[in-house]
Parts: sequence; C-alpha cells; structure tokens
Amino acid sequence: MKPLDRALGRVAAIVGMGDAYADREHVKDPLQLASEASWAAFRDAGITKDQIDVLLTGRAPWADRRPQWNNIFASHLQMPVRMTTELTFHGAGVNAMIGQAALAVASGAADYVLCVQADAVELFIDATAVGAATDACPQFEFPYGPTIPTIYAQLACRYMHEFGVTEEDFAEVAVQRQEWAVHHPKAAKRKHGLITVDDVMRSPYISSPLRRWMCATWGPGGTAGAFIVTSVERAARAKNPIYIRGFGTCTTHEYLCERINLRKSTVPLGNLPAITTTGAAHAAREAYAMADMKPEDMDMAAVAGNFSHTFLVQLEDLGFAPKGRAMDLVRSGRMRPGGDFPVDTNGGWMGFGQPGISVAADSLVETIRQLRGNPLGLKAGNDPKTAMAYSAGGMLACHSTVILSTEKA
Amino acid sequence: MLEQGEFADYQESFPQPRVTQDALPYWEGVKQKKLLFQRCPACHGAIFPPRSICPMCDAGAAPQWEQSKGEGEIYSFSVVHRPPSAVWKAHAPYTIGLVRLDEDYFLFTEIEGKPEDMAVGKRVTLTFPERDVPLPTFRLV
Repeated sequence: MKPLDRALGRVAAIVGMGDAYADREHVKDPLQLASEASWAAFRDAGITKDQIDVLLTGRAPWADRRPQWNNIFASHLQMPVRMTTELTFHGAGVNAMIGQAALAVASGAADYVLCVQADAVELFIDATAVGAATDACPQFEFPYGPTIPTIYAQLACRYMHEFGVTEEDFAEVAVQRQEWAVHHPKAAKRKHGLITVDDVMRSPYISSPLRRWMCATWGPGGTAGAFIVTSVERAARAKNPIYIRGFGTCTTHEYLCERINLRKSTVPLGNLPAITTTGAAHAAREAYAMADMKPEDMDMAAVAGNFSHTFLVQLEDLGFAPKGRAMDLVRSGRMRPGGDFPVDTNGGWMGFGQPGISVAADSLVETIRQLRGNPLGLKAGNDPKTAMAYSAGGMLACHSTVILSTEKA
Repeated sequence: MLEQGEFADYQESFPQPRVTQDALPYWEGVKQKKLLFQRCPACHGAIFPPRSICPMCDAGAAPQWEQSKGEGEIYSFSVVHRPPSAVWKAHAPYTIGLVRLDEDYFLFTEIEGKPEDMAVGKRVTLTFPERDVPLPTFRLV
C-alpha cells in the first residue's frame, strides 16, 4: 500500500466535541443521542449547523439499523450538506471519521465536517442475538453456533499457546480496567466496584478461556460522540483545539475463516498463517509516520480491548510492547490510575462497556476530554498532551488509529 | 426502533448456512458426507472458503475441486458455555475451533469430545453427525 502523505498530519483539528448518554431511567434512541451530542459539539466549536459541509458517521447503530442512517440523521437535523456517508468497516469506521474529515478539509471539500456516532443497544434490541449473526460468516461459521466471544476466543487460545500467557494474566487485565471504570459515572461496570484476580477467576466461562470478567459488557444504555473537524487555520481561533497529528487505517478481512486462510498480505501480519498480529500494526505505523512520532511519544492511549486478550494484542500492535510481552506493561502498573502511561481512562470497552457501535466514539470522547483536562471520571495523572486513540472492528478485522494532540505540528 | 421479534427466526431454529454460488459443490459434497475444498491449478495452494478465482496468486485461475481426507489438527479452540440463543442450550457446552486440515487449509468447525481433552495440536478426524442442519464436524482421534 502506498504510504499516506505525511503533510496530512498538519492540516486539521477538532474544534468541537459533544457527548450524550442514556440509561434505563433516561431512555434515548440513537437519533436523540446523536442530536444532543451534535448540538453540544456545535456550541463547543462556536458554529451553527449551517456551517457543516460534510457529515460522516460510522455504520448504522444496532439500535436503529435503517440503511443510510447518516442521511436520516442529516435530514433529522434539517441540515443539507454537500456530502454524507457512512464509514462502514465496523468499529474502525467510527475512529476513521476523524482522518476522513481531515482529508475532506485538506482537499477543500469542507470547511467544517461533523463526525457523529450514536448507539443504544441495551435499550432497544437483544444484543446477544444480534452479535454473532452479524459478525460470524453466515455460511461457514454461524451454523456452528458461535457467539462473538467464541470467535475472539480463537485468538485468546493462540495467544496463550504461542506466548505462554495465562488466564490469571487475563484476569489481571480485567482488574486494572476496573480500577478506571469505578471512577467513571457512566461506566457500565462501575456498580460492581473494585475486583480481584480471584473474582475474575471465579466468574463463569462465557466461551473458554474467556470468563465473564474478561469480556466487555453491553451498556451503558446508550452513548453518542460528535466531533467538529476544521482546518488548523480556523482552529487557531478556537478556544480549545485538538490537533489531528496522524491517522492510519487497515482492514484485512471480514470473517475469521477468511483471515486464518490468508497466506500472504501486503501489510505485515507475522508469519502467515497466524492471527496473533492484526492490521492494527499497519494502522499504527501509518499514524506514527504521519505525526513523525514514536509510540514512546504518546502520553496516553485509548484502545479497543473488548476482551482481556485483545487489549494485550492491541498494545503490542500499537507499538507499546513487543509481540507477546504486553503483560510486562500491565504488570509495570504504568497504565493504572496514577501511572505515567494511562490507557483507557474511562475503563475501556471492558469497564465502561459497549453501548453498541458508539463505543469507538466513547474512546475518542474520553481521549479528547483527558487532553482538555475535563474527564467525567478520573483524571489522567500525567497531564497528557498527546494521545493515541485506536478502534478495532469486526473479528480482528478492521483497524483505525488517530494521534491527537493539544500541540500544533 | 427495533423490536426483539426481529430476530425471532434466529431464536427458534438452528441457522441454515447462507449458501453462495461459489460454494454449491461444497454443500453438495456435505449431502454425500464428503468434505470438498478447492486448489489453484496455477499456484497449487489450497483455497478456502470457495471462490471463482484464486485469490492467492496473480494467475487469475479458476480453482479446481478436490476431496479432503478429513484429517487434521486443532489450531485453536473455545468451549462455548453461554450459547448464542435458546436452540443451542441443550447442546452446550460444545467446542468450536479452527482445524488445520492436512491439505493445509483451515476450517472453522465444531470439535466433538470432552472439553478437558481439547488441546492445540491434537489430531482430529472428520465426522458428519445426524443433525437438523447437516454440517461437517470433527472429533478427537
């Protein structure tokens, strides 16, 4: 693949951010959540909706799966725009809105781009049923009765086999995620309080080796995140701009049965056949190159650890630990509250939970809130200036990275 | 707003495979208790899932069907304790894994045997259990 133009890391910034939340006492559907977040973002950016040229969303929310949901939302806001589209490569598409918005700004197609994602799975559909039916191959996987954890567990099995990682290691990951989640008012697992490795190991298997505490939960009820992207020149007049310093994306497959049968790749995935390195490695390299930065330059990170083992694999693919050694980083304590490399400060996908596809927007919201110093939960203790926000989607399939900074290139 | 009932079909019966045109010979083979896969006449690589053009080389060749011996080993596995829907509950716990066939391709499949006996690298052999939905599965040797 052709490398991205590094100049793209100097063209755009996020000048407005809005978030919205729902729960069983405050039921809101995706249109309501996205409206609330978008209006908060317009106000934060000091613009009106009439200044939006392009609207981007990720794929349609599970809680409202009408096709062209992006256009439904543009219509709902009575906001004619030049162009609107969904970035439909699973959860990675949500994170990738930021880079695609930067491209729209760089090309001159837009002065202002609204990127927004909402979902509310817990409030509107049976999440257990919809999950594997969407993400398992309907011909060669789904008829065998897997759940989404079953598909992800294939990687957990290989990761343990190849690198000697244990279930107790996976338990330690869950313990540390919960240390952040208990401080976030919207985190789905906040109510459970702090946990121990024994608590995790006593929780039942969902799909071995994954126990309940090693898996993301559904919830909170609903969330939305909205982001206004414009040029760095316009951002100079904004009150709290967050600069888009780098971005990268990669998708390697749709179904796991395709991925395991992949024998050559233009992006590095280890010695194929193998599944313990993902396209996140390529997406991260692209972003670092654009930003002219290294993993060590990141003050914090938001990853997409929907399970203990994917959290570890992602840390490695994003360059924060050598392959197979992310547990060393976990054990160092650097990612815990008070550590010098805070990761998933809202509790992440495991602790904060998955309200649906908007979970990837929640990671961006958390990253921007921490960079601006106004998190809803625990504040990162190291005054972060630069962050890596990553999202994954599909069955280890789709990957998107963005490097955000309070400092202009 | 979506309702629970939208997924009623999934709740009430074992799912049928969504058969593609490329895979019609595969499913015809399953009816006869044979496991078929494709091989590229140009690069000789084993191809799965089925395609109309080999994706593994640049020859653009039409793959040819072969019968697998149905022998292989466990590459990865997971024991499903919390099944996806009601119809699977009586069947649980069951093991789903990636099996590497001796012809050097992989299937996502069920592996029959005691959960505690499962391990990466163990040999497995093809079986076609009597089920509502006919599928190739494997059992520990």
